[in-house]
Amino acid sequence: MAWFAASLLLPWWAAYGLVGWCDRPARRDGAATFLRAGLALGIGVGLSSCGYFLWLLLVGPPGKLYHACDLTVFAAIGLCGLVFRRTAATAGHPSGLPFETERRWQRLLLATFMAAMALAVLAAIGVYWKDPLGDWDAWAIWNQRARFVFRAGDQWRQAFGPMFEHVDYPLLVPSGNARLWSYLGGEPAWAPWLLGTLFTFATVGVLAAGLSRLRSRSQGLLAGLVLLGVVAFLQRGAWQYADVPLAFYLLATVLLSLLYDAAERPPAGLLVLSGLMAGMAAWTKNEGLLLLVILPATRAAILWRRGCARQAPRELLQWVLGAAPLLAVVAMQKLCLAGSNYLVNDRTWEAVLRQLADGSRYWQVMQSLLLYTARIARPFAIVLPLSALLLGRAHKPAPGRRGLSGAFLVLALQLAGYFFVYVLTPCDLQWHLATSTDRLLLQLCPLCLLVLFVWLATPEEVFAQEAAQCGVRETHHSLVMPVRFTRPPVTAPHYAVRDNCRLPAD
Amino acid sequence: MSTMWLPRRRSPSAAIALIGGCAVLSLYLFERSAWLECGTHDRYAPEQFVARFEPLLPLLPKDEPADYLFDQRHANIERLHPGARLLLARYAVAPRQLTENAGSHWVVVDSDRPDVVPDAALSARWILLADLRNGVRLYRKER
Repeated sequence: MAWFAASLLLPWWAAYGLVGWCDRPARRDGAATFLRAGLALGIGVGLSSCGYFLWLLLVGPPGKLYHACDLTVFAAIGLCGLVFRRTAATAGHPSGLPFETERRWQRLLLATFMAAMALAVLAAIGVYWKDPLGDWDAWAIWNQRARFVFRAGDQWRQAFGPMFEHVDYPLLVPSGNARLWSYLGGEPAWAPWLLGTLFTFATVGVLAAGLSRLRSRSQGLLAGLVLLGVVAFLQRGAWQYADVPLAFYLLATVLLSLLYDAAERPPAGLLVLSGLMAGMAAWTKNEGLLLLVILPATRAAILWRRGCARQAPRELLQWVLGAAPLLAVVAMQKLCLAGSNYLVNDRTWEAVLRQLADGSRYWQVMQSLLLYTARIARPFAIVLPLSALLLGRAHKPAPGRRGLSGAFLVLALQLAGYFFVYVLTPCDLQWHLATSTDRLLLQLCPLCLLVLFVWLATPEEVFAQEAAQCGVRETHHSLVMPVRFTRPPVTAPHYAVRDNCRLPAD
Repeated sequence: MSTMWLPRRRSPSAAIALIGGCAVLSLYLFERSAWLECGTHDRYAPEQFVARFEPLLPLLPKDEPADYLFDQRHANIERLHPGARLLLARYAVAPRQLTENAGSHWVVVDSDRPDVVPDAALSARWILLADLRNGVRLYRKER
């Protein structure tokens, strides 16, 4: 069990150092620590699963030597990160809390979030108790492949034989699970469950902490509460579906890009990390490959529109630098193991054009997307629009909103990509929609909440605005009260000077 | 359409209360239902189904796939989808390989009625190699 703990914690620790190094100028506060810890979980799992796969492909079935090398490498990276953090701690700038003093409603919101987290943990354990092997996708695809790879020894390539379906699916989850089992020396069902649940809570943590940094802590907590309340997301995580890790990587990719845009002196490391996360999304599911095209294209288009086209090649290079190692691993998997994909296999142009011209398919897909959105959101289908009306839209120069249009475009294009995959599917459309729409929507759920809550005004902003309008002075006993910021509210359009290129807020 | 019901004034307190209350209530109901369903013993639950097949692992051939055949007459298709049966059986006996209609010499027969011998086994005179007494039998076809 000690080795198992080390196999989980050392990559996490190493990735924490890596994130800290890439995100050097960040404030040192609770939100930053949570954000780094959340991002580090995804990077740690992703890198360790890549290592396991590469060892399997290039050396053979991982044994004691693999364990020694694996742990040594991550321990060495972690130590480098620790040394860096020690030196950076003296040079870095300390930070204040987001608020000068904490109000009662803020404490209440934090308490509600903690209560929701506790309930979510209990629920995740309950789901495991009920379905220890997870649900269909877990035992039919992800864990089945992990079992084959783990049990087959030298014959592990049989797991990609012609009798199996979906052999082109990327291997982050199967490799990650097989790696954990190799440290445990057996295949307990709780190991994949633990990985899925960790990704679920890391997604909530990254969303809340990321919004905390971009907008305000209460905005982060509100978004985190909504994601926790979308119980389908929690359930799919505990069911060990790969859609939850993919949702994590999609969120992290766009969030890091937003943090880069929001920074006064943006560190290149944030873009490198964003690229790394996008690479991991492609290493998790084929849907992640779409992001590898969408995000750089969107970024380049927005820079060009802002008149900063000269900046685009440098930024794209930094982004590709992060994505390249993972892309190489994905390419190796596709070339060495994967067969053709069922969506593009044996398609003729005539069939594709016929489906494109069929209007009823568009209508069917649209209906299904709307229906499943309502099914997933449940009460939030009403509560979220109502809450959005109650909070209102943030004013343009609000901090952290720079880059919002890019994030929205990525979300819209990713959804459009899914839409056209359905329109052009060679499978029976009704069956395809019924078996996958909810999962695809859940992949975009955290990203959608990120975009929405960056766009909405924070409670602090609304309170401050109301106070300014009414001329009410701050009192200490009212629930609805203005909050004084450590940073003064921005009144003029906010500009960042970057390479002689003035970027107005979106 | 009337918009009388729409909030006229921005109220973050109401938004916080709505989101917080809705999230906690949803989670409470979900957590309760997850735990309530835990104690129910279901023979068609995936883990129970997988456990039925696991003793078959050392008996299956290493180099050759075995055919999987399920007794449709005595199977509860509503409780467990036929496709799910094959996938769960595959999961249980990994890395041994189970296929459908591959014409293998080895046949795994899965029936929900342990006492019923499938017609195919009787008519084709397959040799019974193992009977797990839970509806799972391993046969070899005569060469």
